[in-house]
Amino acid sequence: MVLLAATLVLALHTVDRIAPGPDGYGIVNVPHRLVRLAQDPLATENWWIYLTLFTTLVPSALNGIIGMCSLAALFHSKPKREALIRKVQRLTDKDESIRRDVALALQAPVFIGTLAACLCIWAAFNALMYGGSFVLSWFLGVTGWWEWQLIHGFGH
Amino acid sequence: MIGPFFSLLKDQVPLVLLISAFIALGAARFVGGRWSEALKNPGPDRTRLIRSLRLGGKVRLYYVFLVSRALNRVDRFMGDADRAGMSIPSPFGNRRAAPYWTGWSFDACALVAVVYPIAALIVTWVVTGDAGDIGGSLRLVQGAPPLDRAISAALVAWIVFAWSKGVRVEGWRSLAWMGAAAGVVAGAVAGAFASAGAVAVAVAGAVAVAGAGAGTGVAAGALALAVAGAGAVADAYAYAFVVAGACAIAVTDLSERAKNRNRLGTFWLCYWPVAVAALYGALAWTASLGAGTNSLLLPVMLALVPLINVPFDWLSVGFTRPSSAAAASATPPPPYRSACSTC
Repeated sequence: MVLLAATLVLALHTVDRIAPGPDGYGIVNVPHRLVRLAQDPLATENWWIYLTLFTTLVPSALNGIIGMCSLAALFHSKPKREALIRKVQRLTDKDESIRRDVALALQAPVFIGTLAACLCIWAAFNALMYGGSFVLSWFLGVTGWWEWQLIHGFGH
Repeated sequence: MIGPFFSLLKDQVPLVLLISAFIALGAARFVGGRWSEALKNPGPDRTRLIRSLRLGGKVRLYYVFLVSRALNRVDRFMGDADRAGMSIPSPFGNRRAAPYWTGWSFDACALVAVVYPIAALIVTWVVTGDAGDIGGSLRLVQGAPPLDRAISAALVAWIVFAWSKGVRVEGWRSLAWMGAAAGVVAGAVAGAFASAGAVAVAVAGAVAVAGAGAGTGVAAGALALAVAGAGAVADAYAYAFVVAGACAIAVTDLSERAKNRNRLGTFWLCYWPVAVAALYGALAWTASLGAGTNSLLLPVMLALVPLINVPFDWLSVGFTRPSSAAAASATPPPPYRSACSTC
């Protein structure tokens, strides 16, 4: 993500260098846009920039959610399953209490796994919501610093 | 920073625990209910239960089933489902050969990269009414009334829907659907929906046509650029965009040939740097002729930024596919499809 932002800043800085607008600031005017982003990150005019940038994260985010959902499938280890298979094979219609145990043993891992997956997704969502503003200001700081380096190195 | 975060979590815990427990109980009851017959009497149900347990359990099978289905859909969208042999190998040591990074996936990423900024602009404008510089260049009216924005959204949705229907059927039905879509695009170009972001509607139409018809990122980018340039730029330099679009459309033919010869990867390897260099050259040239800032912002945001984005999207998708496949294949032993009949 940082690499993408740095590459985009470099690409747009190059545009400003080779195609200065009538006012001499470049047609994109990257520093001006970065300052506007930093001053009011939630302004609606900036939404599309986020939407465009963060698409790159969509596959990774989906991967994360898939990973968290896989927790629901974790709590059924092989030895436990084999013990369960032996019990199921020996079940007769008179073993009411064993049948209850087996039903519980089938449902418990599903319950624990689904609960763990739900809590994990909720914690990740909260971390994203809470940490989002810190990450964004850090992100804007890094891109601003990079643009500053480009201006110093290659001129405006 | 961490303290307030944990207090936030603590505040929400009771409600979240309750909801999560409710969902988990539902899932557990669902699985339990499905096997109640198997636990009562020996028979086919019990055999299925034992087979399911041997393969990792019901939830694991569902998980693998859903992930495999999602990955198959992604493969179909990327157009490389049967091109595992032409892919760059997985960095995660996947046992099964599958398409991860291919020329076809790069092409599909190019299509998405072209569609996304336009879609993001239109969606932001429809929701907030704020057009910004780029939206203004596409003649999205700043602060347009909600009804006009809703009409624009409906027109774009109609174009995409009608064209995608048109390419799926044949004969007069196909013509009817495509005509219905083209009519709205033509109306937008002619300025019939001026207050409703005419150019944006036309550009969305062009991308829909190129994306659904040719199915290539090259075609979508070319048409978007040509229509945006022709429709949005009112100054004397509009022809530069039309020329750029025409050149890119010619390249579309090359990409089609590359596709037919299974050389899409080589095509993009050559085309991508040439396209980026050509765009920079065209920008420098048009700027030297004194073109306005707004007319130059369009090719930057609709062509250059998507082009720069494509390799990153491609890398991201390429990492996601093998890691998800590894997660799915690491679960039950052999062949999943036959195991799935026990679900």
